[in-house]
Amino acid sequence: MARAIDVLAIVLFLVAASAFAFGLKALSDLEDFRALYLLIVGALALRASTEMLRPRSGST
Amino acid sequence: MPGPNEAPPAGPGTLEAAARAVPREGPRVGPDAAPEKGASSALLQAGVAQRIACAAFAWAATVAPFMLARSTSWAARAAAVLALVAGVAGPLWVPTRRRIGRHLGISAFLTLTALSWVLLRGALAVERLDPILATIGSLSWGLFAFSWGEPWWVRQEAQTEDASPILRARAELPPYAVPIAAVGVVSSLLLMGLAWHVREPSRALFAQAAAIGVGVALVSVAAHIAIGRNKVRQTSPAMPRAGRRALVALVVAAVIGGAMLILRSR
Repeated sequence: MARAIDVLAIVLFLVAASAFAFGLKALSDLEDFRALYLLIVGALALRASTEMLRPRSGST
Repeated sequence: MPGPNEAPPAGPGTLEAAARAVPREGPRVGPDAAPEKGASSALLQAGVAQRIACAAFAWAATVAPFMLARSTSWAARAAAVLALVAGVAGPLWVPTRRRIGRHLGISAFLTLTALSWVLLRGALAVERLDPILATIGSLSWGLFAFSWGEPWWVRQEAQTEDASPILRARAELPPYAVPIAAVGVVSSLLLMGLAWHVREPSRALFAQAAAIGVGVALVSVAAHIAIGRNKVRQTSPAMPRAGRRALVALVVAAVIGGAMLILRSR
């Protein structure tokens, strides 16, 4: 399970980086809504990847 | 006996004597002064070559291409050449006349470069900027800033006692920590380069700000993932509740946003 969480966190990180890249590409193509959507998805994916690896409170 | 206005002579073990022993900034006289040694020996001093190289690189990436254009005025060319002279001469003075060297290498170099840019206003219009050259220019000025810090190639090993035990690290990095951190750094740099492809001025400004913020976040999260994996394995094998919430929020936002995108495109 722990290894799966590690892999999921890395995948989410890669998803976030890709979403940011496509968001900037959409911004250069003057597609504001798509850019905003991808930037928000990227931010949420980045947050999720961080939260995956955060130790539980009280478990340390 | 010292007079009432004279300071008493410092003994060999006093702080005052130690302070006098430390070489001060300013002109030196004697056989080790800079003019006698020459520029070649100054180049061998710690940090000199790196500062010259970085200043020349920044100048070559952000000033030289505009200076060589036919439409450039002589005043702009003169300012650009003087900037290069200051950027190269400043570091050479640092080992012997630190203050003059820093003023030449930093203050004068930046002032003259900015002056040449002001005189080259037309060439620096956003529409005429090449994205790749602009990215390289940004990186080169970052390198220039770092080059005036500590010397990069001087590393002194700490002295250790022969009888002292070998100090061991308290923990080891998880596997693939360095590649993960490297992916974070590279992807943030790529995003900053991508932001230069946005041409429309207001969107370009937003893209630059977003790329910098996102780049910092990517590097930070990559470092967190790189070193944080073993901790989870040791403390709690199951997915934390906050992680599940964040994952649900991501899926919900992706689905709703995707649906709205499809509806808008119809």
